[in-house]
Amino acid sequence: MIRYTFKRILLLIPILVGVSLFIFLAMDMAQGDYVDFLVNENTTPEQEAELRAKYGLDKPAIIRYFDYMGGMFRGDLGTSYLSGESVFDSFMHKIGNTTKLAIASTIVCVAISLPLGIYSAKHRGTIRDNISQFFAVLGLSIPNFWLGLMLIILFALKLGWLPSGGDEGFRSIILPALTVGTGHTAILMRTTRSSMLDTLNADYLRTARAKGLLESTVVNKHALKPAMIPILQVALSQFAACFGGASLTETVFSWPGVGKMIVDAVKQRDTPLVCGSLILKCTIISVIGLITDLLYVAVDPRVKTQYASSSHRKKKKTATEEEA
Amino acid sequence: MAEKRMTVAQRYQKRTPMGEIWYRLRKNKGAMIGLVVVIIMLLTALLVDAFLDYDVQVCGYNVLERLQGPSAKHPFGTDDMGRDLFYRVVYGTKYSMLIGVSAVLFSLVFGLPYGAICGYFGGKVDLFLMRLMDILSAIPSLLLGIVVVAVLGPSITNLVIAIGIAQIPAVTNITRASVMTVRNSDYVESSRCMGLSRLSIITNHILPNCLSPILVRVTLGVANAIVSASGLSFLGLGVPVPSPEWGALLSAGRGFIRGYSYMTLFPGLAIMITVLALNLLGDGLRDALDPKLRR
Repeated sequence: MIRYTFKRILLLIPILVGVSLFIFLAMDMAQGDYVDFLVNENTTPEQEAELRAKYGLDKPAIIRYFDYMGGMFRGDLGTSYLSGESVFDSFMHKIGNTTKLAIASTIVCVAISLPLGIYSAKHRGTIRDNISQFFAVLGLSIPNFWLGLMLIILFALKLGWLPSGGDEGFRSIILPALTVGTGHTAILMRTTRSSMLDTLNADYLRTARAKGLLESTVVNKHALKPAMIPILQVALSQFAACFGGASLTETVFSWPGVGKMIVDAVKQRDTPLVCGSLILKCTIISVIGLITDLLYVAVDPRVKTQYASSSHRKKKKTATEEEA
Repeated sequence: MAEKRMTVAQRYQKRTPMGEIWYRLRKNKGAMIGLVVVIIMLLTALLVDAFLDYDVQVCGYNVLERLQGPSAKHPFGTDDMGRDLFYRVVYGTKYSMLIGVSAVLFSLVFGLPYGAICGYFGGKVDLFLMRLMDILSAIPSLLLGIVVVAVLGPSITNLVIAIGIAQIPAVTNITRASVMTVRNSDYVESSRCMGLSRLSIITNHILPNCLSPILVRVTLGVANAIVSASGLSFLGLGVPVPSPEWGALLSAGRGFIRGYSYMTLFPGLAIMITVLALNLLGDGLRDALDPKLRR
């Protein structure tokens, strides 16, 4: 297991190197650089050249890349052009908000999809099952940023119950969390449903019913517990996905998180900030993925035995789920 | 009359494989509704230029009628330039469908051969090539889109490329996985024995048998691409200004969210209905093509 953990962390390195190289080259090819955003008609060419030299933008991208990577191996993720702050500090300022939002969204997602999935599995094949599944697909189909706008119109502008944006404590996280959470319900709900279907027909459930337990106890305790393993796994990968893909929601709600910061940084051609934040973000996401896999082994003793052979396949599976 | 007297078994025997898939798809109400909506959307996209005059009805200013709420004359209301939002949303179908379909085609052009090579050869080739895909999928798709648009400049073609690139890893994964499942089957072995070239084995014998998961992926991919396109346009990185792309309409309406909320309502509904239809159709296709999965 330790060997496996070590291997997974080693596998992360080429990905991080690739991502940062891609970002450096792409940002170099992009129209305009950071200095073009600073200059106005009063700037002399000498001043412009001086600014370029100050940020090292007079050197070719590949040289800057190697400088940057050299710094990275010494634990320095570079300095943001715009704020002059170190990238690590800027990232750490914002990651708290992103984490809060990701946790809240996952709670919303689980709170909707778990009961819906169980309900759907219990009434499998009936109209209730179809309606529950339809709602899950509906959640998937509504574009996040539009749902955000609609929630703002309804709850912030028309009813005035909740703030429309910014970060003003607990009340302002409700709408963004609803927005992100509903988008992720479909996959978790389907996992819950199919996982419950697997256990609902098991023999030990017949035993539980035969000894006269309440139907709710049978379903919620005896059937749900073994079904929880895949559900937990998918819920954690949804959590990782919340980390990765909430930039638009953060923009709509002016939520000061990492996603919005990176999008703004790309617009301002702040290459070190984009690159460093992406490296940190990818690391966090894959660490969550690794924890998911390790938890999976810890929770389910059946997996331990076939562990060595199936580890590669499972990693691929989580990767596709994150993508979806 | 004769057909009614056939037994179930006979009826099944009469059906071709395609007929069987169609029969299963037809039984799925959601998928059929999705299919009808998708066909209507595609027809709208193709025929809209014949019915609407782009310069007058879609982009023509009419200051006298600016910011009117929904009415009989303007079912979706008018925007800040007095343009009829109903016409603009209907015309926007063309952009969304066009961008969605072309972005997926773009991702297929790269993802299909890439995934097929990875799946067929396996081993070290696969390991190396899939690491490259891991890099691409490690970058969030919206960010990838923003970066690509920043490099190429905002235009419809570049939007298609940006979204297409972000879709490549998904296509590659699904192709690779399904190629791997048929790679070791007997008929592939026998065509190898017959001395067919690798290219011909992959294109003539393996890929046709991997079509169903890829077809499902394409349907869901178009839905995904439409959402991404509207997201990028919403950030002002998509289709240039006067064009009524749905995301651009939302972005314009966002400035008038106080008081004129209908401006954001209808374009979003259009995105939702299209994406919902594609998702329902995709799910239905998945069940129809592979009944083992249906539970």
